[in-house]
Amino acid sequence: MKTKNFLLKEAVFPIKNGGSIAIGGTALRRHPMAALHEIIRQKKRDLVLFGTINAVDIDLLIAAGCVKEIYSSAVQFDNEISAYALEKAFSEGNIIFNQQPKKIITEQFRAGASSIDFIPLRKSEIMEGNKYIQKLVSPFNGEEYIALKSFQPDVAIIHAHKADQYGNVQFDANRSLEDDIDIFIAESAKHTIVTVEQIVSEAAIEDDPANTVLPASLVDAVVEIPYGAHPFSCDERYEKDSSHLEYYKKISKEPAELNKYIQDYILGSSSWYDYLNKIGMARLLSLSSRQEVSGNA
Amino acid sequence: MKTDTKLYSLKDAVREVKSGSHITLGGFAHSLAPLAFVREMIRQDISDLEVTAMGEAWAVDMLSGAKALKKVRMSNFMFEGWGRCRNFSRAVEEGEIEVEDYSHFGITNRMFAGSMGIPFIPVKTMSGSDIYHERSFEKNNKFVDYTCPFTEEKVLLVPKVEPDVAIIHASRADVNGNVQLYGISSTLEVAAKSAKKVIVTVEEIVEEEIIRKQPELTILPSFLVDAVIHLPYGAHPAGMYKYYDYDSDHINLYIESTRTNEKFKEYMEEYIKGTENEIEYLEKIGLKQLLSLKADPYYGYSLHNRGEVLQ
Amino acid sequence: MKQSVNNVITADEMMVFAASQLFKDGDVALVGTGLPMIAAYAAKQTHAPNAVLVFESGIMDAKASHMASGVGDFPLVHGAVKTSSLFDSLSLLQKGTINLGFLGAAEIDAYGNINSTVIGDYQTPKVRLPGSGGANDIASMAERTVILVKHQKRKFVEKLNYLTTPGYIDGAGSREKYGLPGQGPEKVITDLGVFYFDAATKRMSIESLHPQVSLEKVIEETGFEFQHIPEEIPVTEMPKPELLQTIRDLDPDKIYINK
Repeated sequence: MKTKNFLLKEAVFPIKNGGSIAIGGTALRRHPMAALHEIIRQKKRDLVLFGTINAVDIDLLIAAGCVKEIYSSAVQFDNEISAYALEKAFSEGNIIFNQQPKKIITEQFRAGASSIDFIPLRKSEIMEGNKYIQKLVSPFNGEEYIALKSFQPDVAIIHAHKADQYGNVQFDANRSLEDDIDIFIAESAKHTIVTVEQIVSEAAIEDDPANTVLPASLVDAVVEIPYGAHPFSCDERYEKDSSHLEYYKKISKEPAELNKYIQDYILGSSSWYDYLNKIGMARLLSLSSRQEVSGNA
Repeated sequence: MKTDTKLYSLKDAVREVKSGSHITLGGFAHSLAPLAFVREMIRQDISDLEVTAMGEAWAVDMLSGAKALKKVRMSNFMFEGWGRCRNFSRAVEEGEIEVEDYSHFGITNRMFAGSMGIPFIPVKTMSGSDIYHERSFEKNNKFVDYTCPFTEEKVLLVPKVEPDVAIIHASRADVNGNVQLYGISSTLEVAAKSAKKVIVTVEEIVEEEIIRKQPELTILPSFLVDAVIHLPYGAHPAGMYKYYDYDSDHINLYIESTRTNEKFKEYMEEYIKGTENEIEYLEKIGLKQLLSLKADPYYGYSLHNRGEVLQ
Repeated sequence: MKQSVNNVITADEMMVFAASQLFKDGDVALVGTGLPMIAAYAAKQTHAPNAVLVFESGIMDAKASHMASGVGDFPLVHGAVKTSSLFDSLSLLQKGTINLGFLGAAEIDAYGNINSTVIGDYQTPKVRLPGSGGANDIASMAERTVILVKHQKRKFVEKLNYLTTPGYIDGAGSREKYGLPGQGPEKVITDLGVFYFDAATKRMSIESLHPQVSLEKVIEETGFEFQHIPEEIPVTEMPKPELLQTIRDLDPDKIYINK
């Protein structure tokens, strides 16, 4: 079998300006932050983004000038206040934000994952100007439905717990796999990049086949990136970094400070490890521990 | 309802180990070594120690290099795959440490007698060798020749040993001090049970419920443990089965530094005395290096470290 | 003799093969890493499939997926049937359950006694060596022991600096005098030949020399006189090509043999 283990730089490189990208993770967990940093460093432009419930992940891409259009239920902080870079770009007319309910988004990814062009849904509010939603009359009973065009982005990026070098991806055990929309997101795209906390042996994957969520045939690149969702949580592996998220919320109000943040943490970091070093050993160890680490002042 | 926990900070726990006391430590080859604790002992200048050890090369070599040891009961100190423990050897050669030699089974039986609360135990090993003939500080307390009153077998009697403190590094514990371990236990159990006080450092603190789910992993129940300290990477540069592999790069660097007293002093200044705490030590080692040692969930050790390069 | 080309056997391979032949099916052996471990696995794959390996660290019946760097190394832990304690492993030696043990040596004398403690005086040594470890226990208590050592004059000495590990101590009757349960060393296997101990004197004697090894070379590298040298010295038996391949396959990265 061919190895699909890439460096982050190599994995992100094929993303084209103007291309469409689905971003994994929901609310404050498991957004593929390391990959998004790399997109910013590689100065990708005019991207069309698809996500479920988004936050600092998409806000940063907007602030860095990478985004043209967004399909998501929200780009917000933990208190459900809209993220500031999104607000600013939207009010200035620099981006198109197609806000739509998460339930609808889920159906669009699910349809995309099955390579179905559209999926009918019982009629609800129609979002004007949204290219992905149209009226539909049932050929059977004449009732009105809405037709949702499925999401089939060029690229999907999700962050998972582990994979082998061939791209067999697993989530940690004891989680409800059915509800995890990241799997649909990954399957919906033409090219799927999975960042993982650890590249493990094939034996580790074979030892626990029930937890394989994506077989290698559905994955184009895997990249090992510990703490790859920081400052978001990665299920049992580490908690969200509340103080960093608070810090972001505070500074992102001021565009100048937000630019400086992007300079310091992203453009000024030569690699993800460089970024993690700026976050610091003490903080990272405490996020992955249930108890405070001794000496962690 | 119990409200107190046994969770200590490293600095506070190390303060409990007084200069001049008699200690025993965990560690087998490049695993189980309580080195975060040992580094803090060196930071706090704890010295004049008496050590009872079987093969805990890492802890003993570091403490030897820090000139913290006075007397050592031992069996074998060696960095498997790397060679002699030079700090320890040099300290013995320069007359700084008095040594009493035993075999592995001999010294462990002394701990076993201590752990059982019996004054001595008969063994069928060591007789006739220079371990038997040469007596250092133990003198006549080392062995007594004895004929079994039941079978007339010739045996050696070895007395119990009861160190003041045992210092152990294990996998995980709850805040009450129930300690669990994956993999081999070497002499951890008898060492801990023979000592008057038991200090355990662990990779992870987990809920009591997690401990109770797998009681078969428990090596020391809380009533045998006096203090628990949460120290991820607490065995570095040694490894911990299922957590991280030993750090060959840092072992090379360490071994190189032990070639002379001066070089080891530089090592200590940089990595031990020059760091305020273990977080600073780990920062010096670097996140990328530490994360590269992460154990594969199937094998329990790092495949990167075993020459199976994945990229 | 470093390079292994096809069927040209190396000294390491000879030692491994000779050691592997001493395993009997069903032996419970206490082994270290290195050549004895490869020998043990070779025996298990051929004539002694029921041999069990115990490591002093507490690892029992290991089935390693990667080469271990030592007896406590993690590859031996993964896949073992039991992970236990050192006290437990060595208790099995005292009980007699473990019946075969392998030893290395820094210094060895004519009676198969070994030094691994000091060079020079014990109290103020010139060189402090690692110490006995489990070696004295194996030598004292295992029914059968085998010593594997590089054949060099500085190692094969008339008088040891320190007797860490008993062979036959002062000769016949010594082990009995001290009440040691094991039989004493059965064979010494070196890169030059295979040696045994004379029944009457318990001094080392030549059993066979490896191919291309001369008696002169062996005498030159030995600091004591052999008790017995056969008139016609046999050549050590060589492994069949399949077995040689088995031995090589056990250490494909040449970590221990032909390094």
